[in-house]
Amino acid sequence: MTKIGIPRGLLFYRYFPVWETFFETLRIEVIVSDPTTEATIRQGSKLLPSDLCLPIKIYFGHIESLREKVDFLFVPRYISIESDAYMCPKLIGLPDMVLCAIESLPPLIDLPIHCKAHGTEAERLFYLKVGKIFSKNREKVERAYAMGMERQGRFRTLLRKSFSFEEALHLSRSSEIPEKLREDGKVKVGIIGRPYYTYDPFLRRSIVEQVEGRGYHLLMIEVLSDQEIERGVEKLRKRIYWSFGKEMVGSAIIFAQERSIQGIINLASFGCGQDSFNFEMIQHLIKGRVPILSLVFDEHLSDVGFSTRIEAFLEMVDRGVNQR
Amino acid sequence: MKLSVPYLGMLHKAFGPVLRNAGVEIVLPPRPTKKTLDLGTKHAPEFACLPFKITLGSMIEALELGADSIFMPGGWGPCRFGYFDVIQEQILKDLGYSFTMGSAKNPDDLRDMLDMMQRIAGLKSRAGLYKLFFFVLVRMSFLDWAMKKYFHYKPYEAVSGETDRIFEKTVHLIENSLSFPQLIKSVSIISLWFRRMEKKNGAHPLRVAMVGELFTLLDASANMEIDMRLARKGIEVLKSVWLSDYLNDRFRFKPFRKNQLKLSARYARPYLRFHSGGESTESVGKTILFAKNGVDGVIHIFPFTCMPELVAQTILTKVQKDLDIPILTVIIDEHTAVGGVETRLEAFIDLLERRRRRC
Repeated sequence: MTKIGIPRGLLFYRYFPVWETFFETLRIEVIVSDPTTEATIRQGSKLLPSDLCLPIKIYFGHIESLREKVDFLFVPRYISIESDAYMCPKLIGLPDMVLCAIESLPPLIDLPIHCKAHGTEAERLFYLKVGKIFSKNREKVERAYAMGMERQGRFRTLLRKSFSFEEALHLSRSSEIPEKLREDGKVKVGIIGRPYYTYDPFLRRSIVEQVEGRGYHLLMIEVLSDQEIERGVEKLRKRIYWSFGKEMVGSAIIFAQERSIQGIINLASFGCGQDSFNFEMIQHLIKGRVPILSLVFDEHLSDVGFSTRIEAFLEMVDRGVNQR
Repeated sequence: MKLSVPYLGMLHKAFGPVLRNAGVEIVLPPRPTKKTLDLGTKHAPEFACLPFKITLGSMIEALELGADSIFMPGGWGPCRFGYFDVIQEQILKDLGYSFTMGSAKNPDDLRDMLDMMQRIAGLKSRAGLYKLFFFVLVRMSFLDWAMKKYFHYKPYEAVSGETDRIFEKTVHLIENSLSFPQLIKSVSIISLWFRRMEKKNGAHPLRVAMVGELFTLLDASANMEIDMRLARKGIEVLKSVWLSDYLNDRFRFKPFRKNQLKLSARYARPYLRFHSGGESTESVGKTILFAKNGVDGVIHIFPFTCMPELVAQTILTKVQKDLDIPILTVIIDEHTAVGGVETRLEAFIDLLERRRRRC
């Protein structure tokens, strides 16, 4: 059986269910790299110029660990996933960077998705083209795509119900969607960042342990629907033309206005160009309403440094709760 | 209406006199210095890029001088430049300044741009504005042309400082040519000046190409005057992007010239197959083009945290190996010091000279 490698990084944390089901339905073995470790980061850092951001380095580390085990590598070029917004320039140039920075790679599957130029059909056309590489039977590819999207839909619903990433991945395989126990009464803290920070177990570990361990309910951006996020950003003077940026700003506003959130944690990586602007906007828009903590990742992660800051932040959250 | 426009290379020389002539009041802050940058850094987000900080500082200086509208057109991604206007307006208004931010709804559309310009400049006639805009673009092209001439002739000058004197006169002359016939006349005079300049015989200068992000490539406040430093050392300097080309590509205005972005994309294709914002395609494409034309070395310059150029940097490491062309990467932020840059430049030039002797 043909083996396709999917690096556990970047958009893996957003689109993996559709990728997996799509390839499995086409009878291709999906091989995912192991979860991020310090070695992954070290390996990635070695391959890239030092100023690139941590998620990209992690991604390269994953590719490095996969490249000898698979027949194909899946590194799609996500240019835009909406008609009026782009992805980060680094994601747009991702396959080119991979080809230039890593040697002796298996063939890359790096077709583009560009909804801004090709409309809403862009995503479907992308999967049809990918499918064509492996199967001549167009109907079969269409079916694989439909099944993939179905699972992706269930996955999103599960995340909206506040299931964790791993739970959602597992549960989305069956067509039934269970209910999650409601966590009433707990103080809610929102965590705002790109999916590849907020869902990477290695990066989120220390934050989640500490916040949830102390009895707070941690909300991810993904608990909000697209409509809610749109409602959050509709009053801005100019639409934000980065999809993830829009999500982050929109969800911060909705969290603060409607979800009775008591604190917001911003996650960004060192030198992230977009987040410097997004978080400036968030701070401007919800200043004074809820405490905000900004945590910046780089390859010299240290839990200790974070934990003191989180502790101070949680105390501030408690003080806000008691005052009300 | 007191209009101010942030500095970008020689742009202010292209539009300033023309707009003043049309009755628009223009406030020009002093040229950005370290103080300007410090002012911008103080109020900007930490990881905002250098162009953002310098223009922000420059805006504050202009507002202090009494400007009440600022021209910052914005854009539509994926580079951050497109969102400068919103964040800068937000920061400045939080600081308590009241002014109009001239940002276009759809900045890539010339009509929208002109609407906005009409509004903030207070010009009545639309036809007049079209003409004005076109005239400014042509002036910009000639200013760029003069700059290219300067870089071309500087290494060959026989009398030290002669080219600088001519260039100064040139800029002054173009600046004061306020009609098309006058401009054409000035240009013919200028080319005569350059041609008649006394030149060294048998000079064989090093040729260094500068590629990278537009603002750091063009504005002296952002690039530590690397271009001038090289020129003074007797090196011929080439650049990947010129402001007039950039404006021309962006508005598809086509005053008699090639689309440089498309040209670069063609050369960049084997390495970078999709334009990833900013000047990434130009940086990669032009590096390859320059290398094929036999330059001795390439300097890749961009601000710290610049997203598109980081993509280009990663790709250029491969280009460097494949084409065997030395590339010096210079990343600039508010802590970059002249001394450090100078040392690296000298080392790089040494390397280029040694390579040439070896060949």
